[in-house]
Order: sequence, then structure tokens, then C-alpha cells
Amino acid sequence: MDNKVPLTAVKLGQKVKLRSVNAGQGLKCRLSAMGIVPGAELMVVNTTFAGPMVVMVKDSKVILGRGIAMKMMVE
Amino acid sequence: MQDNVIKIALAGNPNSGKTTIFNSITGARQRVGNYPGVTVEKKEGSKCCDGQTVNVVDLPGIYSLTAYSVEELVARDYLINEKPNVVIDVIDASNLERNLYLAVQLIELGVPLLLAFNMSDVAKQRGVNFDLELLSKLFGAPIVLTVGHKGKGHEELLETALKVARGEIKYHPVKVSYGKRIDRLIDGIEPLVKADPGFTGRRPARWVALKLLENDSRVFGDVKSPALAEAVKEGVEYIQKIAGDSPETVMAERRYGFISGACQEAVKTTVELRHDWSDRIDAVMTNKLLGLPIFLALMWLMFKFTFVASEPFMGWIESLFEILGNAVGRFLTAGSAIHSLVVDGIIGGVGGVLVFVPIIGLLFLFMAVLEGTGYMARAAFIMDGYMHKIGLHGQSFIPMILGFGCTVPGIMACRIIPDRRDRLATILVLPFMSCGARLPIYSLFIGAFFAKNGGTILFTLYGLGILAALVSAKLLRKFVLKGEASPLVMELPPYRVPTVRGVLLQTWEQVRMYLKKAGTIILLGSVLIWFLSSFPWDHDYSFDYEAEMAKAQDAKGDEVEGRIAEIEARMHADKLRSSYAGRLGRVIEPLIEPLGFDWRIGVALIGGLVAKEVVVSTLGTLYSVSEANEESHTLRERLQSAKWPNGRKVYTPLAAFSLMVFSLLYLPCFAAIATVRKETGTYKWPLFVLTYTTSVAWIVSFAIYQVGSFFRIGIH
Ligand SMILES: Nc1nc2c(ncn2[C@@H]2O[C@H](COP(=O)(O)OP(=O)(O)O)[C@@H](O)[C@H]2O)c(=O)[nH]1
Repeated sequence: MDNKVPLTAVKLGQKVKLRSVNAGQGLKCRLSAMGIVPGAELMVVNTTFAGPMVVMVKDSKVILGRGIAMKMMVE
Repeated sequence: MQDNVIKIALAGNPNSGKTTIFNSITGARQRVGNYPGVTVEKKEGSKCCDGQTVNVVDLPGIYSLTAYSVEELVARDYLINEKPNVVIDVIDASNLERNLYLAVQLIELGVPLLLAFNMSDVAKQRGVNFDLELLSKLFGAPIVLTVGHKGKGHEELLETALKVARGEIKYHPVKVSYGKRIDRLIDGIEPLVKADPGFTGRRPARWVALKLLENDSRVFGDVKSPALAEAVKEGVEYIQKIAGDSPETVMAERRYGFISGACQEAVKTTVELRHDWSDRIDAVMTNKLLGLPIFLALMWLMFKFTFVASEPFMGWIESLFEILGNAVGRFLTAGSAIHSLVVDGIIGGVGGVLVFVPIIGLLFLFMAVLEGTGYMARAAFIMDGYMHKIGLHGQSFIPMILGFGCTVPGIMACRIIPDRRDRLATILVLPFMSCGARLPIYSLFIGAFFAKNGGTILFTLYGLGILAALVSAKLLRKFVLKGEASPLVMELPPYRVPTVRGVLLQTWEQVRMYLKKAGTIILLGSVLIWFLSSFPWDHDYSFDYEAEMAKAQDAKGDEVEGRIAEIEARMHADKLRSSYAGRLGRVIEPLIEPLGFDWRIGVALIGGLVAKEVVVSTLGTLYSVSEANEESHTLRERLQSAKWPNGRKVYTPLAAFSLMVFSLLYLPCFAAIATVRKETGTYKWPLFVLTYTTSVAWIVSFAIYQVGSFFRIGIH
């Protein structure tokens, strides 16, 4: 199980599965509410140079700041 | 129905079309207020159908019902305490699973629920087929298909809602299963909840048990019995052990599991259609390279258009108030205190504020369009990286841009920032963004002293404002509102064509709020400034103006009127000098002298508290020019030749620059302060803004003037 990488390392258009989020309770709940829970399939659909990225989860797109994307481990 | 009023609450995710449905149900009969104690907007409307009054409350747009956000808490408390007869959950059917997450939580809260599958047109386009009967059974709630902006299904929605409210449709609350072991745990905690005196039964016991396991601080605070507390603690540890993650996450996962299962059974997608036009627009608008320039160009266009288009309207409003002042003034004794109060204080003061309505209205119109189309979320996406570096949030950028137009709507727009500390930081630095009202001051002094390099000076001033805001944000995050800005997590909704009605309603709402303020705090402020500059009323003039006026009257020639106006103005200036405001100005003169200002500037700056352009008109009065505005060459000439008692020039280019910088930075107008008070809900923060901005202004102007004087820059 060594293929876990932070979401920021995922290439555009790649589909990944979320494993864990290392964040405070509040943030985790906000992510959960948007469908971003462990086991969910994410696809990176847009990025900026040093800023946030957009991921597709289920049928919606969510903007994730760099700080939080770094703390999300996917495979 | 005992009291014959049916209470309907509208819940739903942001962007699900909730507002559209609310507007369509209630029409124009809306009241907008705040939930007590918080700045979360509360919209209410009513409707009559079948001889029954129906009250509709639009709950804030939310994704879940945790205790982590004010909006969610507000919605939750409303549902628990107000017990609406029916809750309509507006669901974006084209994004079903995510939207059903809230529905599941509403089911667990045990509210009488009705699901509106909105955006059913979009879902249909995507080839999604719903087995409504089965879904309705699985979720234990009736379902109605709707298309928000077309009004489709709204009749049926309302009818069904009434049936649910009257109890004609039985709803069978379903139990979401969290897996055998956790279910058993919940079943064990339920009786303990029922036995706990802290829970009187307004909240369903199962829901309480769930929330306790989810570490919900609000619910946990009500636990009275140690047995329950102990059981919950053990339960949390147990879930952590068997699932390897915190209970909140595990429960969320299981809820999605439940939803997924249901959807697999009852929802069939026939066409796989992904790359829609929304994606294609985004390929350009949020492009790595093009995104930022496009955004800046849009913002520039917005301002350009706002200022150009609002100019004629502002002219009309100004003349309207002049006519009004003259008309009303005729009924009052000329020269009396009451005449002055009504005409100069009230009508003049309020008119001076209402002049900004076109600017505010247009800015908000643009904002409503940008928000309605979904571009606002893109803007946050584009700017987040940059904003984060200075400790602000991606969504801080739009309010700051608005601040260039007017600080007040900028502060009001901060509501879109979800985290309280991020919002506060943005509100507190916003006054440094140079608003449109400061422009007349710059034009006056640039015209008088920097005719050659006006553009550079103007650019420097705006840049200085931005710099002050950025540095302050950084400092605030470091020392006062400690910590990083919260990371951006927001939905990127697909592009949509906003409805005219929705846009207009939203704009009107903001304008209405501004008008309300003009009628209260700003009115009081103008009367205060009027009082300070008009009293003491009976002034012993050092000079017999009346005699000179009489002499001028007798004299023949074309310039009689001009002569009289000039004498009147001089008389006024004499009086102003000894008024309370004038005295105050002279009291503070030693304080502002190191910045290069005399008492007149002091008075003008005090006047600027009503609205910054008052600085110009006050200087006009003080320098005895009756019709002063930024175009007035006479005022410019008088400024250029004004002298200190010792014969030194008051306005060197250096002093003028120092004054412009001070005007840029010192505390914003009353309206802005009042807005800070309203939006932060405390007196602490407006006081902070007041002292902080003024100190910064003083220090910067002091540095500029003293350093400049030392190196003898710009003193001739
Ligand atoms: N295609 C489609 N668009 C809709 C529907 N209902 C609302 N909209 C549009 O969706 C956008 C967002 O709606 P709004 O009511 O502001 O969403 P809210 O954030 O939930 O209040 C608006 O541009 C509406 O015109 C619908 O059923 N179908």
C-alpha cells in the first residue's frame, strides 16, 4: 500500500480514489458534505500554477485550495 | 391546522435552484432580515392558497447539518425550534447523490419532508431516468419533479407540500443503516438519550444519538447524565477502532453508501455525456494563462461601465435634491436655524448619500449577474493562490475589488466568505481600497498641484491603498486573527444563464439595505456635522458683512450678484471658523501640523467622515468659494495661494500629496463604519477600524511630509 500520494501530485484528467484526509474536524465535515469522503472517486479537472485545483466528484466539481489538496492522500 | 397558517421551510444545497423556487412561490411578497444574533440572511415570504395562508422561509443554502458552520446551525435550529409543517428539500437532480446527502440528514432529523427534484430538465438532457416511486419509498418522502426557472411543477409542489403539512400524505421515516455494528451501537445509546433530562424530546432520540457519536459539540453540550456521556465516549472509540477513521467521516461514508445503493436501484443513466458547454467555457475562462487577464479585464469593464453609466443618474439625483431643497426652503424662514437644518443638514446630507445609489445599484447588478452565471466561483478559483499568500481567502478578492467602487457594498459582499476570521480580516482591510468618493479629493489636488504627472500620482495613491490593505492583512493574520486563512473548499457550479428576475431581486435587496442606512445612521451623521459647523448660531462677526453687502447692492454693474455671493461666502467662512467644527479644527491643528495641514484641512477631514467627498465641499466653504467642486478653478487658485499665518504657503505639492494620502487612508465614512458594525455584530471591530486606519494614515502622512521636508522635495 505504498501507492498513496497527495492529491496535488495527481495529473490532470487522472481518476483516483480518496484514502484519507488529514485535516481538522470542521474541514473534514465540509468535505464530506460535498461528497469528498474516503473511498470517493476524484478526477482532477483543472489546476492553477500554485493555487487551487478543481476536482470532479460524483456529478459535481469542487474547488480545493492548495493547502487542503496537499493533505488529501489518494491512490 | 390550529392557527390556519402553514409554515413551509425551503432547504437545499447552494446552486440547487432554491432561490428561484422561493421567488416563484412567494412572488414579490418577501421580507429579508437576519436570523437573531448572526449575519445569516433570513428570507421569508407568504402566499395565499385555498383560503390558507402559507408562510415560506428560505433557509440558508447548505450541504449538511453539522455544527461547524453558522448557516448549518441556523438551519438546524430553525427546523428544531420552529417545527415547520413541511420542509421542501430542493435537490439538484442532475447531481443527485451529493444533494441527497442533505435529504438523508433531514430524514434523520425527523422533519416532514418533501423532495423537489429540481433541474429535472438538465437531468433529462443527460439521459437520467428516475424511478420516482421507488426513490420515494427508499427515502420515505414524496418527490416532485420541477424546473425552477420555467415554473414547471411548482403547482404540484405546493399542492403536495400542503398535503404533507395537513398530514394527508403519510411519510414513513426510513432508517439509514450504518452497518450492523454501528446500528447496534446507536440502538444502545437511544434509550440513554430518552432517559437524559437534557433532551426533552424536541429532537428525535436517534438523531441525538447519531450527532453525539459524530462529536457534535452543540448537542454534546446538552448531555446531562454521566451514563450517556460515558456510552458516547466508548462508542466513539469503538467506531474509531472498527472503521479506522473518526466517526464523523465514517458516518458520512456510510450515508453516501446508503444513497449510492438507492440510486443504483432507482436511477438509470442512458447516455454518457460528459464534455458539455460549461467545460468548454471553463477551458478558456479558468485557463492557466488566460484566466487572470480575463478576470482583470472583466473587473475593469465593470468599473468603467458603472462609473460611466451612473454619471447621468447621479446628476439627476443631485439636481432633484437641489430643487427639493429650494422648494422646501421656501416654506421656512431664510437664514433661520431650522431652515439651515432642513435644507443643508437633512436634505443636503441625505442627498449627498443618495447620489451614490446609481453606483451601488449598478455594481451590485454586475455582481448579481456574475454570481448568477457562476463566474464568481471561477474568480475565487483564479485568485485563491495569490490571496492565500497574504493570508486572505480566494473569496476575499471580489469584495476588495468592489471596495474600489464603494467600501460599503464591499463590506457587505464579504458575506460570501465562509470562515469568520477570513471574513473579518477582509472587512478590516477593505477601507484601504480607495473608494470612488475619494476620487474628487484626488482630482482637486492633482489638478491644483500635479497637473503634469496626475496619472502617476493617481496610480501611486491606488497602489498605496492596495499595499496598505495587503500589509494590514498580513499583520492581522500574524497578530490578531492568528492562523492561516482557511483553505478554499467550494463547489464550482456549471455556468447558467441567470434569470432577469433573480438578478433584479438580488440587486434591489442590496440597494434597499443601503437606502435604509442612508435613512438612519448617515442622516444622523450629517445632522451632527451640520450642527458642529453651524453652531454657535449667533456669531459676532469681526467684520460688518451686512454693510458691505448693502454697499455692493447699491453699486451698479454686472458683477453685483457675484460680489454678493463672494461676501456671503466670506461671511460663512468667518462663521465656520468660530463654529464648533472650526474650534475642533483648531484644537487638532497641532496634531495635524506635522503632516502639513492647517485647521481648515482639519475641519474638512472631520467633514469627510460623513462621506469623503465632503472634504472637497468643506474646503470650498472654508476658502470662501460658494460653488465649490473639483472643477472649480477658483478653489484651486485659492488653495495654491493659501498661506500659514507666518506667510508660508499651506499647500506645497508635498502637503497636497500628504493630504491625499491621509484622505486615502484615514478612517472611512460613517456609512462604512456603520456597515462594519452591522456585519461584525460588535462595537469592537468598528472601533478597531477607526483607530487603526487613522493611526496608519497619520504615520504614513507624517513620514511623507517630514521626509519630504527634510530632503526639500516638493516644497515649492
Ligand atoms: N436548467 C435549470 N436551471 C435552473 C433550474 N432551477 C434554477 N435554475 C437556474 O439555476 C441557477 C441557480 O439558481 P438559484 O435559485 O440562484 O440557486 P440557489 O443557490 O439554490 O438559490 C439560476 O441561474 C437559475 O435560473 C432548473 O430547474 N433547471
